Amino acid sequence: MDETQFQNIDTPIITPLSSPPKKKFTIPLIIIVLVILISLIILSLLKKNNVEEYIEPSIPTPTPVPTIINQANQIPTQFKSQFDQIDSVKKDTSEILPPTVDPDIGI
Amino acid sequence: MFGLLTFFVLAQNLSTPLSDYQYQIGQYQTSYSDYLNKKNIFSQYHDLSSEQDKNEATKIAITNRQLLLKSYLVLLSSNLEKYKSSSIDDTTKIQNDISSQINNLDNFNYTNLQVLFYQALTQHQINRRLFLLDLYLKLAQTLNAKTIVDNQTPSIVQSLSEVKKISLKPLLSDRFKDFYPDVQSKLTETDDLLNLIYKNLTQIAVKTN
Repeated sequence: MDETQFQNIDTPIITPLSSPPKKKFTIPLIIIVLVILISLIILSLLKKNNVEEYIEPSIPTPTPVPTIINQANQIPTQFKSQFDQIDSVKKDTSEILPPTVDPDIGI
Repeated sequence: MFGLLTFFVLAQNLSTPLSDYQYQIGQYQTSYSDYLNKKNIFSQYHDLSSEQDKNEATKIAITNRQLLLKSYLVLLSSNLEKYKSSSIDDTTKIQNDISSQINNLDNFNYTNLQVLFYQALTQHQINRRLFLLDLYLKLAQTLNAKTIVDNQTPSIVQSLSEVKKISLKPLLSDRFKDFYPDVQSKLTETDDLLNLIYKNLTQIAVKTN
């Protein structure tokens, strides 16, 4: 087989001393990957929050009803006047505190 | 003319220690404000006219202060009358002290006056609680539940006597030390015991229905 004229001439691409040319699509690819990652994180966070915000409807628990409801209305009439008198004394909590005066007027 | 005369007579009869006191507060505050104003003007100008104005305002403010203190003492004495039956001797003593202060207001000692004010208020509070205790006892007797009151009575009486002691503590200096917060705190303890009696008596009364 005949040897061609330029067969042994090194092309610049395979020259070990020169660096290989950068691929143009590397940066967009990184950005796309980052965007996907961030969107995945955001989605997972949103999903997590939604789970936390969901509150199960509380089921009312039965509580004991007090045996005496509105005692004032249930007091027998024969004791009513005594209770009324007691209530009026209990409510008499008004007291007038001393006035603030200047004891040094004219001094 | 006759109608006007009747109105004045009625108006005088309608005046109460409380309404008198409220009126005197207004009079004192107005005259005291005027006194401060005239005093301020005199301190700026130092002339004869402003000095005369200040002296006149001072006299009016002092007179109104005396009238205010007198009306408050009358009000205290009148309020003490309400539950006096619970503690006649102690109440009468304070009412006598009030009367002597009213007659001697020209030479009043403000510290002593403040002590008397709060002693009267304290006595009124003690009397009201003793009166309430007596009402509870009467109700308990009606309900055949006297032990409910009897069980708590010694603690209530003890607590009220401690309240009285607080109000009678001698002054350690010429300055008035406000003992009334301590009185109120101790009275709250008494109120808890009284409320317990009330609650128990109410329950017994309702059950009899």
